[in-house]
Amino acid sequence: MTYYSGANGDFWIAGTSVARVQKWAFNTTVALLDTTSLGDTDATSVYGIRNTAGSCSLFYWQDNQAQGDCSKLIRNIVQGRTGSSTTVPGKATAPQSTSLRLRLIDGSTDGRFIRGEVLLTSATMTMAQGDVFSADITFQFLGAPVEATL
Amino acid sequence: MTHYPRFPVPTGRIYKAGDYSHGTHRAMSGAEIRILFGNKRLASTIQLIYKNIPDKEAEVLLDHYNSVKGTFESFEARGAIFNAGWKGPTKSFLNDTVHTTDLEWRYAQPPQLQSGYIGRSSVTVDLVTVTY
Repeated sequence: MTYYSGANGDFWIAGTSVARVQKWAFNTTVALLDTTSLGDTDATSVYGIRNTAGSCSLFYWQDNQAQGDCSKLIRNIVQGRTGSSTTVPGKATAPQSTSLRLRLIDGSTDGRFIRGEVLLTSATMTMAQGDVFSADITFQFLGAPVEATL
Repeated sequence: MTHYPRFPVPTGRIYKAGDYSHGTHRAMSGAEIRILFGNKRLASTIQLIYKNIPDKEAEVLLDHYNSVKGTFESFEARGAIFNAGWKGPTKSFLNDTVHTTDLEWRYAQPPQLQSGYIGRSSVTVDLVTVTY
């Protein structure tokens, strides 16, 4: 019997493994539809819409002028005004979807993973004394994951 | 005479007891005279709510609506739509035939069907009593 820990984790953005990821997590929930009829004493339900969302924390780093994966990911939603619209406060590049793979390295060729197209729903970056600058990202899968082998 | 479908059992029910037919006359002095025109209660209504029922059962309800020509014809209604969840001493209290006569029902308006999750719908049916 084999157990796994953070040392076995891996995180891919758009097909590339991310070097400095601190943690990732995902959460799948299913809404229930109430079917309790008059005369019933206990609630009855059936499955409704399923939702998969997740989060990750990436360390921010630069290699000389080259920015790391953290920048690559947050740029999907953190956008300044661009081009001729710099004087227009309400105009900037629209948020983009990206693909993520949350992977467990188990010794097999592909490992175990959940992957799919995601919409980033938040990016929080905190600079603080004693902490490495990092970004906390939350995301929502576009429909069901493309593949889930965990 | 068709009967309202006994199944599915509603998930909710709102009943309004109707009223006795009467007239009100007010004199110039402000005095009010009320005249009772009959001894039977009229126009009780019931709203039946079917939340998240299978589409197959929703079809049963709509089929019945078609079978009585929509709001045109009247029909009998008994059973779970009145009794389910009701623990009063008179089992058929909501389908009262004591204080009304030859009680029948008809659709007060077309049923409303709300589509939700795959294979599940919510239907709301409004019925009103017809007294002969």
